[in-house]
Amino acid sequence: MKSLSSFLIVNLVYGGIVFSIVLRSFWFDGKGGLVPLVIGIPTLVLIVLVLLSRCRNAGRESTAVASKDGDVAPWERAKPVVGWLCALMGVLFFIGFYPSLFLFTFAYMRFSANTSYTVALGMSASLLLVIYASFEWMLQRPLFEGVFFGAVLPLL
Amino acid sequence: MAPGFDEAFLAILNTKSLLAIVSGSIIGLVFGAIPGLGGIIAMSMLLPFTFTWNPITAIFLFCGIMGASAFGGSISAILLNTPGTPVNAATCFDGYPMAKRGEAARALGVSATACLLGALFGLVLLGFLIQVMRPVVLAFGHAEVFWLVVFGLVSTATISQGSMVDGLIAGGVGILLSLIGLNEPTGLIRFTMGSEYLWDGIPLIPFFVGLFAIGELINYSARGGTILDENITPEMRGTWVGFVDVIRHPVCLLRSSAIGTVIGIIPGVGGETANLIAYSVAVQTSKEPESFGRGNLEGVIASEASNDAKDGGALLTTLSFGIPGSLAMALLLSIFIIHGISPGPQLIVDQPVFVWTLLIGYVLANAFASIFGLLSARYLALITQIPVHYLTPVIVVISLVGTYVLRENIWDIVMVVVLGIFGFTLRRAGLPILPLVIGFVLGQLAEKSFLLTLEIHDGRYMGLLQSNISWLLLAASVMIPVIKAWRIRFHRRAR
Repeated sequence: MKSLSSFLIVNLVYGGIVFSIVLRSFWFDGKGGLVPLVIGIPTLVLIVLVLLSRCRNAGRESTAVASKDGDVAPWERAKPVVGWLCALMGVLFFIGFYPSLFLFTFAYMRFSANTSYTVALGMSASLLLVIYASFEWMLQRPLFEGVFFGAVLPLL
Repeated sequence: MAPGFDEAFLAILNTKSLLAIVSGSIIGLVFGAIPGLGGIIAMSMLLPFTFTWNPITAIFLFCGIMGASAFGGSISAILLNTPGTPVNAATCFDGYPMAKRGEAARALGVSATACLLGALFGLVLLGFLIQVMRPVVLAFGHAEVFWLVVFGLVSTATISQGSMVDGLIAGGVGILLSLIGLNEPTGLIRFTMGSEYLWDGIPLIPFFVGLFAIGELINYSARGGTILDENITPEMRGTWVGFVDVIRHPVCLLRSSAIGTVIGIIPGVGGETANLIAYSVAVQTSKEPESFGRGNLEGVIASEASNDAKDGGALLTTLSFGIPGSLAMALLLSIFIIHGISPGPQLIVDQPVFVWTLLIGYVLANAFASIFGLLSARYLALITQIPVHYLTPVIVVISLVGTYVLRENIWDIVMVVVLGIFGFTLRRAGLPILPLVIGFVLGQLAEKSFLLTLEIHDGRYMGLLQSNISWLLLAASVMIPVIKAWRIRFHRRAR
């Protein structure tokens, strides 16, 4: 995906947020919708103008935008990282923090960073130990146990 | 010598007191550096343990935490682009680019020195103003706070990278995002799309951790290598250069410290506002505004000096009137009350020893944190040379756990990941993040001040412009974009 696409995505997301807030602001009585409308309408106009202007000059702008982001990785290389994060989020929801953080660290180190089993295991175990010692023992702040361990297992 | 100073000074020369300051500073540094935790959590966690302590020792412990957590937050902001606490957000903008080009030790040196000098400035001002500050506090009503926020928003939107229009759009979206949830003046719950999670609005910590930490983490994990840019030899001995840098920029240091102190005095405005406004003023007044966001050390000085100076200002209202200027001060106030100390105008007269103890303890805590920073910066800077595939799981784990423990809400994790992906897309698009963040931080305060001013003046909009301070801030807010537009036009003509 090119930078111009990212530019369009961001502005479309912005446009969607602003449009829905402006639309909803008309429903509020009194002063509840005043500030959202005062800020939202000009912002929406600017977004539309920017999108129209960029689409009209798509050829020229794509090179102009792309030249800015030399130190930003391309989307193709970022997709696996995003995948890892989404997978962690999903697993964390089901089995809670401790098992998922251990699994994530081990799997990431072994399969994405290509380190040896020993390094991956050592790092995930030590990270788990540090987090457990800090939050369970010292701070006494229990972490989320997950839908499975928190709700299903206690019933068994 | 001021009454009570010598007694307070003697109280420091005690093993227990020194131990309390040093342990408080270490706790503050660690909690400050971990995204999502911060000094407030550390203070609230330790509060029950201090009930039976001598009040002076307890105050030293909390001074240590409060004084060191701001510098702790700047360590992760500079090295990992992850503000340890929201008040370090502006430090990321220039501190992290400095780290990427091999000047992490220098940036940490700048931060440590600016923290210490900013705190000293705030406390010296506190010492002078504590007897005569009533008019300063009373001068800032809702209308003046509103214009102050408008000034911060306008100046940031115009200084950000890219075009001014992109900055204005991002600022507008940031403000609108901040309006999600319960609106205090009207009692309405707005724009939540039926989600109870959003009743309190988009939480600040997941917003920062997502946009900064995870957004940048996706970037450097995808790029591989180290945080340090390729083909750059790191300057590991730059700590003392950073120290000298701050001394060589006295105007930026004093101006940012003054901004921090004044904003600290205004109750309810908060530390996030202080560092962002000081940063935007530093950009506006710089001869090279385009170098900000690319590793200009004045950006780090402005953010960190204002950040620590604001505590002096906030202490002023807390001690003199019993009005806490921020959440940390509210907690400190409760600690005073628990230990039988009643803040108010008579405090400086009735309990001078206590006031001086607090100030000396705070100075010592800052000094300890800064000396630690200066001595350890070259070792801390080594983090930028560790291959990112070792750092990625550590940062992910600490960021997610730190975010979760604050509110114990699992949806905060979803918010962090979603905002992280969006943060990366923003970087890909070359669009500014700074105005989005500033709009988000200041938007709610702007609306609240605006609506309360209208309420006080029976809905008359002229109520917003009834003082000289309001007019001054309005004029500054109008002048900034005009000057920027004029500068652009001038440069185009010159070319």
